[in-house]
Amino acid sequence: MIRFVLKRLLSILPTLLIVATVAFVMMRFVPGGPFDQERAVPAEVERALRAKYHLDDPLAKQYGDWLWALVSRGDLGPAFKYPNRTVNEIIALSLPISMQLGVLAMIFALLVGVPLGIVGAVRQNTWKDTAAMATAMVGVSIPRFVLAPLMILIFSLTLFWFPVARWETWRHMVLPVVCAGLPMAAYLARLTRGGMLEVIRSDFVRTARAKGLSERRVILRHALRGGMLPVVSYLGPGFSHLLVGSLVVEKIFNIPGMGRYFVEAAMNRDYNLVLGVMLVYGVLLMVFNALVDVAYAFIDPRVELG
Amino acid sequence: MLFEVKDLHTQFSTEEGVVRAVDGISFSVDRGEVLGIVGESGSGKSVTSLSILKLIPDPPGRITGGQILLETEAGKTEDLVRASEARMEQIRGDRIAMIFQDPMTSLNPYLRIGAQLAEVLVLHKRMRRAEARARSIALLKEVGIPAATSRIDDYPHQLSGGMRQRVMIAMALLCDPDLLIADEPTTALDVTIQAQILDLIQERREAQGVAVILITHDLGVVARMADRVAVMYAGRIVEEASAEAIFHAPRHPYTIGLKRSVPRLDVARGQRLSPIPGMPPSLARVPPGCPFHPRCEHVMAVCREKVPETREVSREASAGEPGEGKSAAGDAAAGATKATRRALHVVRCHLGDPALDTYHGHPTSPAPEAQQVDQPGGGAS
Amino acid sequence: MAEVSQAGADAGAGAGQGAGAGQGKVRLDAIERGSSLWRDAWRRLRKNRASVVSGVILVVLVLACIVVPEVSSWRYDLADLKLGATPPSAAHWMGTDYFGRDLMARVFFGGRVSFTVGVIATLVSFTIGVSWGGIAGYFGGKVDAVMMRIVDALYTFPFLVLVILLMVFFANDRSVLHAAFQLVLSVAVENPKDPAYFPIFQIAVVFAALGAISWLTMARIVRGQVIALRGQPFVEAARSIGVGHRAIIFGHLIPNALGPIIVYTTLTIPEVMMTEAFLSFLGLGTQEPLSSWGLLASSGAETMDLYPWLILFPGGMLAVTLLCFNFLGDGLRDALDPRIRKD
Repeated sequence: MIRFVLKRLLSILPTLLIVATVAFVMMRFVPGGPFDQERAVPAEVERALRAKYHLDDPLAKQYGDWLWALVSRGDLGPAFKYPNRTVNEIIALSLPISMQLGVLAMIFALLVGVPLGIVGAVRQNTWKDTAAMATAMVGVSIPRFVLAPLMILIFSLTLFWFPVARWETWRHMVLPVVCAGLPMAAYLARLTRGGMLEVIRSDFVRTARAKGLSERRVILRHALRGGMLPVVSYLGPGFSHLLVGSLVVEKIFNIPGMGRYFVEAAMNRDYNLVLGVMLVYGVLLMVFNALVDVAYAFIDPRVELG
Repeated sequence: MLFEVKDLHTQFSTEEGVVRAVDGISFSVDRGEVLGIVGESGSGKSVTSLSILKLIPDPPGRITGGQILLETEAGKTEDLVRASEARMEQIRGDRIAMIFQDPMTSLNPYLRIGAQLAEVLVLHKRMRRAEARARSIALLKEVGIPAATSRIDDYPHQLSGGMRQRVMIAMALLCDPDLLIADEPTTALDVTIQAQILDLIQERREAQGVAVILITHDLGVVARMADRVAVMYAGRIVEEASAEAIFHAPRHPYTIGLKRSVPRLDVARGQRLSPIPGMPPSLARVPPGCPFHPRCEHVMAVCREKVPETREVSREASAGEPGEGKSAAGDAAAGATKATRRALHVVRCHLGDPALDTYHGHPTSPAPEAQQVDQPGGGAS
Repeated sequence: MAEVSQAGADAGAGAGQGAGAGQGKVRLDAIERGSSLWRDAWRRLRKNRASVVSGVILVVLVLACIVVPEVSSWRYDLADLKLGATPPSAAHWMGTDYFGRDLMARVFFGGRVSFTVGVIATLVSFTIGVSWGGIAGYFGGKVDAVMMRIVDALYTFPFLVLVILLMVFFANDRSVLHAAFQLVLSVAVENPKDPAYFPIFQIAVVFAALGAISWLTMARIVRGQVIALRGQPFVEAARSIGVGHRAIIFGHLIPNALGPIIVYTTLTIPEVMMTEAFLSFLGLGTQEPLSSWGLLASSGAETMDLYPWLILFPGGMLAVTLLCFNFLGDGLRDALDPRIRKD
């Protein structure tokens, strides 16, 4: 298994290189640069800035320098729009916050969504099922940028339970985590219900019942593993949805996470920052997909890692 | 009597209406006895077996009437239809165990077989894990699993189909059940493996004195295993008799049809099988009267209104003297008594009346039922 | 049975045509099966109350988006700076925004944009997905392996990140796409350089970007269906009388896989609308002075503590629309997809 993980992680590298190259080329060929939107900058200042950041070098050299800095020192270069900071510094500050938000939201989604889905499947076609699934449908359908203001209106501005913005104490985290996690929880509930229903109807669950196991044991011991497989395989893409969904949450709650920098950097053509954040997203995503594969093989002995 | 089912009804409510999957069946089985339940797919065999353990998914299914009587340890009888779910959990796997059709899907693919075996003993016999494991290994050896000590830590997908069915049998026998229900235990297996599995069940019956209800569509399996046979059609038992009687003197046209549709090695090459025409009815729309009548080549007017009694056919007749059959047919045509006609109903089909063969060969010739309808008052009774 | 096949000849003609090229018997069977499938599906769908109600609400909403901006006494971009933001009143049923623009006119006008984006981007994804999946499934072998490998690779990518990049880099007035857009526009109008057309260009880029990323699941679904159907007698029959590959894929296989395709198309629309709203919320999609629900929600969110109606109305409309599409799609799936139907 360790070999598999290492192999997977190594196989990430070529993909990352391709992503980086495509993104690099794409950005340099697109009109507009980091310094041309500030009208106040005179031409010679801009030229000086461009020279300072080696933007007047031939493209191939820029790419080579950038890649070499990354490979040899793990240096993603300076951030053009934040004169005193490097991309590494910005990511080092914002990534942990985004990760906290993402992981907490995912845990919240699992804790809420999976039990809801199990209830729906076990009590299929009863009012509990209908209620759980209608709730999930609403949860899937409400965009985060509608949900978040609504929750702020209710819980912050009316009830004064939680602060409106920022990311400091656990009280600050409650609303953003719920907002980021709720749509995923709703989706997981639907996935869990579907997976569980399929397994509950399977022959081996009938066998388990015929053995005299209680319904509780049948569900928890025999049905749950198989029923969770669709959920587990969704966690990979789900994590990427969560990362992107967090952009909205970070914006609304004014959380200094990576997503905010990404959107701003993309709009400002802050090449290095965009590339850096994209690479971090890519690494996160691929590591997460590898973990999901391991988890899948762990649950289903028929799957061989290779 | 160890186990007795009386007038059992199981229904499903579906989009098309109420499906009477099991519609008033009765049978019994005693210790050391094998009862075969035969029928086509959709005849209600499997619903019967699931009803006995009360494993019918509810909704949409429900046992709506009858009794399922199991002799308790104290010698009294207990009606499982009225037993609580908790009581059923005690009975399932301990006193009544079940082997399912498809060993490929009936074992949990996510758990080692050892865990799946041992949990039965931990549950019903309150054994410790180590003890349960030892007993599981012993039983795996008894059902013929080589290297049981290491195989017990395999996952189901690492075993062949035959091996998995052996594991299923071992799992069913772990608690020394009084009654074993085997629902198509060999259908999914290779022919050579089938024989081994049947031998194994036979052997366990002799060794443990367990009563067996063997559910199958395969007359060959029944012939080999069963002491008595019940033939199911459209949720009812149309005929029940000793295995010998079923094979040598079947009474219901359906049984005869079933028998005729089995390929045989002792019949000349080139001779066609004669399958029963048509399909079993949808259980949501069972025809009135005898449910088999639309497919029956000996249908009489009475069959459309009620289930006609089948009558014993004499040994001589069933031995197959064509002449006798013919004369009986002649009587009927001449307007014989009802009793004779009912006898004829049976005799004719069994003997392979030449007139019938003509009917098969030439669909334009008048169907037998047309002749019968001509008989005045044929339906009253 | 007789009446079923009779009715089938009418109702199932569309589905049957594809299967009909071969022998009469095959065709009859296909028609019978086809029609009873659609009829059963329709019956099941009508029984699903949530789906029916959702469908009705959607029709009403679409009609309202068409009609309301026309009959409203306020234009969506008519500002009244003196008025400013006012809560819902008799004159302005949904209130006005910071610039005194009538929110109701803006919401329903925004609905046009949102629905159009949803439908057109879904069509784009439908076209790519169905062709891609159909071709991969039909030809199988190496073609299939390569095509589906590409789909798998794209699946692992965080798409919205890609869309954000696409939007940033193409939806500006100096991009190649914009030049192409002006070229096309010059055929139709006199002054293609008029900045008034720029928002339309941006929306076109949104269509393209969303369509280009949301076809993957469709391709997978269609491929699965086509593989299942490929071996059926009517395909062999068509091939044996010399029907070409393209005609078999699009004339025979795809029509027979319509059930799941319809279901997934219905579910793609809300997804795309949500993504458009998301982009607009981040400031990357629809731009002022046009409006879309995402854009309205975005500006509403900034002032929600003062003027909550500015987020509640557009956000509510969007949520209701998405909810209805999802319920409808779910109902269609239960009605049309025989595999999941048993639930």
